[in-house]
Formats: sequence, structure tokens, C-alpha cells
Amino acid sequence: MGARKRRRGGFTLLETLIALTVVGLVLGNIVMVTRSTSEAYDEEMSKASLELQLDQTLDRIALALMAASASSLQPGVANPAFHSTLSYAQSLGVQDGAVIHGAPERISLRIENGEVVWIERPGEPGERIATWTRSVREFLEGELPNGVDDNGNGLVDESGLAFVIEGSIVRVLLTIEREGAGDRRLTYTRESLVRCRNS
Amino acid sequence: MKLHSQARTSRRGGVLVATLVAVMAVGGLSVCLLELDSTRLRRQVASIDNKRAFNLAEAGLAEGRFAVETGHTGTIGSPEAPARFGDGLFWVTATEIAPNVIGLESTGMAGTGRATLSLVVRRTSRDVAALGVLGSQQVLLGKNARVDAYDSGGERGAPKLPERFDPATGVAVELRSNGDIELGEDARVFGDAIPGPEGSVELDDDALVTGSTAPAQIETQPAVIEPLALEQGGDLVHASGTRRVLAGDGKSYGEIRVGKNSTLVLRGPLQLSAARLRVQDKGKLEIDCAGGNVELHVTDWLDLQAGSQLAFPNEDTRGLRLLVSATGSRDRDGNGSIDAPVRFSASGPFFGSLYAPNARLALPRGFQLYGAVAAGILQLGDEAQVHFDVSLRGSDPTASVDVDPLAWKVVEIPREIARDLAEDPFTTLDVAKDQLKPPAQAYEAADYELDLDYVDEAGVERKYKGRESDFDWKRAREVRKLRRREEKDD
Repeated sequence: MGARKRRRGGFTLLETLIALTVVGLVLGNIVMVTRSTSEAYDEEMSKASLELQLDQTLDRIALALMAASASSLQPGVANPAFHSTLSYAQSLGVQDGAVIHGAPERISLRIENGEVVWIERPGEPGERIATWTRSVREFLEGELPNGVDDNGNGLVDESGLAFVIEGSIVRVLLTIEREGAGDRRLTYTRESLVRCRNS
Repeated sequence: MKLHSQARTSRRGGVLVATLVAVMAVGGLSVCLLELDSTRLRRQVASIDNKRAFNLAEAGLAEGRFAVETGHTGTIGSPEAPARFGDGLFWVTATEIAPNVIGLESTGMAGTGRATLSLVVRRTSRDVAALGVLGSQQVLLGKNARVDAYDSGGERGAPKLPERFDPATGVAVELRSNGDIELGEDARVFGDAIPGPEGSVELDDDALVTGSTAPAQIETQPAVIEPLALEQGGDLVHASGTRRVLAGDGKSYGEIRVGKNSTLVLRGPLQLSAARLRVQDKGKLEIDCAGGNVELHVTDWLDLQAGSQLAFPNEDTRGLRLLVSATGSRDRDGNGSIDAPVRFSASGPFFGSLYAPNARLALPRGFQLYGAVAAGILQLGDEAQVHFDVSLRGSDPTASVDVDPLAWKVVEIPREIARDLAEDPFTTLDVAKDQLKPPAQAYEAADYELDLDYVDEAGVERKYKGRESDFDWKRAREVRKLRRREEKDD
């Protein structure tokens, strides 16, 4: 009676093998699904984060240029088409009938480390520098350094941050590129038109 | 049997624990993922809300600017009763920084977004007479020159002005400059001489200013002359020694030249434009405004030579508006000598408004001008006199008020609303959305004392003096003149 009970409580080798195979298949599927879901999620998160970074950087640039006086805009490079550096002065208000301007400011692309930096009082005592974003491409998306307008935006060999001044309106173009999931490169580009509110 | 039962119970519990652990692990993972995702979503929504709030604040500034343009204070709504705009709200606070300089501060709220923007605007009247007597760069008065004011009340004729000015009963002039005002020996200003913010009033021996000489807080900006759209008329040279009358439809001439012993009569109503207006020695330019007013634009050269004559048989200061946009000195007649944009050597007197904001206007010795005058540099020769007619203020039917932006900037959000970032701005401010007014109905209902000249919906010019709360702004299609007492009457 006791021996019969012990036989019923165990598994045969075949049963064990079948059970292990089924469990292995189920676990394998779970791992595969989890991994692909996780990769997709990571990629989506990377894309969203990159887009957010791009939007926030463009918003910062736009706000700075909106408060700038159009007459104070000074491109840094003598390129008639676009500039990767832009100096300006913001309006602080009116005193005794005259508009008062703040300290000179500059937004610039540092190509060597792919950074957009904002500089207050550039080259003067009390200079302040803040990095507004990283991972900026050397050239705008779709553009190659070949003397040709590869991406058809009317600019030739434009840098990853490009300013185009059209009167009191500044066209800002920015491309950010980063490693995504699975060694894929994520590249995003935004373009914005900003009107300087001060003349 | 007892052993068998214990073993079965133990196995069931193990599976349950394993399942619970697995479910908890998956559940925990899901919660983390959801939390991450909702954080990202919240950041995106906050970013969108901030942009919406920014746009609302911009809309507030535009509405405030329009309000100033149409004669209102510029204040729209308040934190207690903001203006409703779509799913958000805004309010604008206007502050008069200096005469005709208004600071607008607009706060917009949408969702969790908040933004506050500031814009300083300047109100400029296109009415020449609103400037008083102006030399925007400098005013120079020669020996015994005189600047005073009178009120013609729209009546014609040159008044007999008293030799001695009584500040209690007399009408005071405002002689303005953005630079210095210099008075020669025995020169008189019966009223205020107001130099620019950095300027001063310099008085020679026995020169007198009866009013204030305090500098202005802010510079006066003369309005830009808008060209007339008229049919081209070529050149008009009248040198036949006869009298010729120009009336009817005005034209845009290259040159109008009045030769020796010739008289050219401009008969109103008439609008006329000329690149050059030249009246030569013994030539005469007559303004006949019995039937209507004359508006004359000169774009390149006003050349009233010595010995020429101006005649105003109606003696009506409203009869002529002479607007000169000419600027820069150069050889205009090809004789090798440099010509200023304005040569004013005619004999007078002159009745009307004379506006040459970019030129030096030198009135000759003993010249008399009744009406209004504004120039880049205004110079009165010895014993010349300018009698400003205060009734001209607001009399120009074509003048309007311009509101020019001076300075825009992003400012700090008011602390009381920055602290509470609830998703519903109406909850933050504790206001009922349904009871809020749209922007156009939320203009400040202030009880200021108004002195207003306006054009009603039927195009009729009207005046209003009284409390602002008693005035229905819908009646005013266009504001000509506006004075609002600074103190609020509660």
C-alpha cells in the first residue's frame, strides 16, 4: 500500500522531459516577447526623449530670439546663406524714452563636441556659458559636405545648427542625432521661424 | 492517508506562491512602465500647455495694444475676472510709464501652462497739431522772437494777441524739442519750453519762458508722412505773369514752379503732391480755402525764395496742411551749390499746419505763423513769431492714433499663480468659467475723466467730456484726441 503511493507521487522520465520542453518553450517565448517589447519601448523612449530635447532646445532659442532686437542680430560667420553662431541683445524695457538693452548674448554651435551653447557677455569679463543641448550633428540631416544642397532646403553644406536671417525673422534649423536601441542611429530635425519682437 | 494529504497541500501552496511572485513581478514591471510613460506624457502635455499659455499671453498683448489704439487704457480683465479665450484665459495690466508711453503686462493660463509677457508701446498721433510747436532735434529762437498760443475756436482771422501774457487767463503753448531749446535775447515763450530728456533750455539776456522748462521724460516721435495716392500730373511751371487757379481733383506733380510776377492759387478742397514746390522771387502762392481745405505734400524740395509771397485771404488755420517729407542737402537745381530740403524765405503771414519732420525750417526775420509747426530743427529769425492755435488739436480729419511697440520681453509669472499649477486655471484663480467675459468685453471699465474727440459710426466728428463709465465706446469708430485724467475716481 505504501509502495503504491510513492509510485503515484513521482514522474516518469518522459513526463519530465515533456514538462521541461513545454516550460522551456513557454519561457523562451516569454523572454523573446519581453525582449522585443523592451527594445521597442526603449526605442520609443529614446525617440520621445530626443524629440523632447529637440523641442526644448528650439523653444529656448526661439524665446531668446523673440526678445532680441532685430537690429542687434549679428551673425558670427561671414556666410551669406546661413550662420551657426548668432549674437544679439535683448530688450529690457524703456527708460527716459529710450529702449534699454541687456548684455550681449550669443547662441553658438560647438561642432567639435556637438553642443549648442548660450554665452552671456562673450569674450568679456563675467562671461557665462550654458550648454543648451548636446548630440548636435556636424551637418544638418541629409546634408553632406560636398558643395551641393543635398537636402533641398536652399542651403549648402549647412551645419547641424543653422540660422538664416531674413529681416526681423530668423529661420532656425537644428538636427540632433543619438545612438538608439540596437545600435541604430536616431536622427531628428526641426525647423522654426522666429520673429524678433523688438526692432 | 494523512501523509498523502499533507504532501498535496504543500505542493498547491508552492505553486500559489510562485504564481503570486510571478504576477507581482509582472505587475511591478507594468506599473514602472506605466509610470515612466505617464511621466513622459505629463512632460509633453506640460510643454504643450506652456505653449498655449504663451500664445494666450501674446493674444492678450495684441488685444491690449488694440485697446490702446482705440482709446482705452489697455487693461483687460484682472486676476479676479480674467478674459476667457478658448479653453484658457488671460488678463492684461496697463500702466502709463510716461505721457503716451504705456506698459502692458499680459498673463496667459492654459492647463498647467502659465506665461507672462510685457510690451511697452508708444501712442503717437498723426495729427500735426498734437505735437504742439516742435523742433524734434533743436529749437532756436532769434532776438525778440515769440512763441505763444491762442484758441481760434475754428474762427477765421488773425487774433490780436496781447503783448503781455497772463498765465491765469492766457492759453499756454508747449514748445518742445528732443534736444535743446535756445532763446535769443528778449525772446519769449508764453507757456512751457520742454527740452528733450537729455536737453536743456538756454536763455540769453532778458529771454523769458513763462511756464516750465523741465525736460520731457520721453522723446516726442513725429509721425511718418504717408504719401498721397494721386494721378500723375507731370511738371507745372507757371511763369506767365498771370494768376492761375488749381482746383478740383489733385494730382501728383514732379515740380510746381511759380515764376516772377505770377500767382498760383490753390483752391480747396484740394489734395496735391509735388516732388518740388518752388516759388521764385516776386512769385505768389495763394491758398483759397473758402470752399474747403488744402493738403499739400512736398517730397523733395520746398523752395520759397526770398521775395516770394504766401497769401491766405481766408486767414484760416485749418485751411492748409503743408507736409514736407524732404530730407538731406544736395545740389537740387544743378547750379553747383548745395540746397537744403527746405528754404523758407517767403513773406507771410502763414495760416495752417506746417510739418517738415526731417528738415531744418528757418522762418525769416519778422515772419508770423498762425497754426501749428513741427520741424527737425525749428529756427525763428529775429522778431519772428509763432502763434499756436490750440483748436487745431484733433481737428485733422485724416489723423489717427498709432501705437508703436517699443520693447517686448518675457517676465516672471506672478508668484500667486506660479505656486498653484493645477490642471484647470479656472480652479487656480477660483473663477467660474461660464461667467467670464470674452476679451472684447473685458476692457477696463474705469471711471477716468475723459476729454475725447472721436468720429462716430456715421463718420461725424464729435466731442465728449465726462466720466469714462458714462461713455459707450461702441459709439467711437475712430479716436482723434484723447485725454484721460490720471487719477481714478472711485
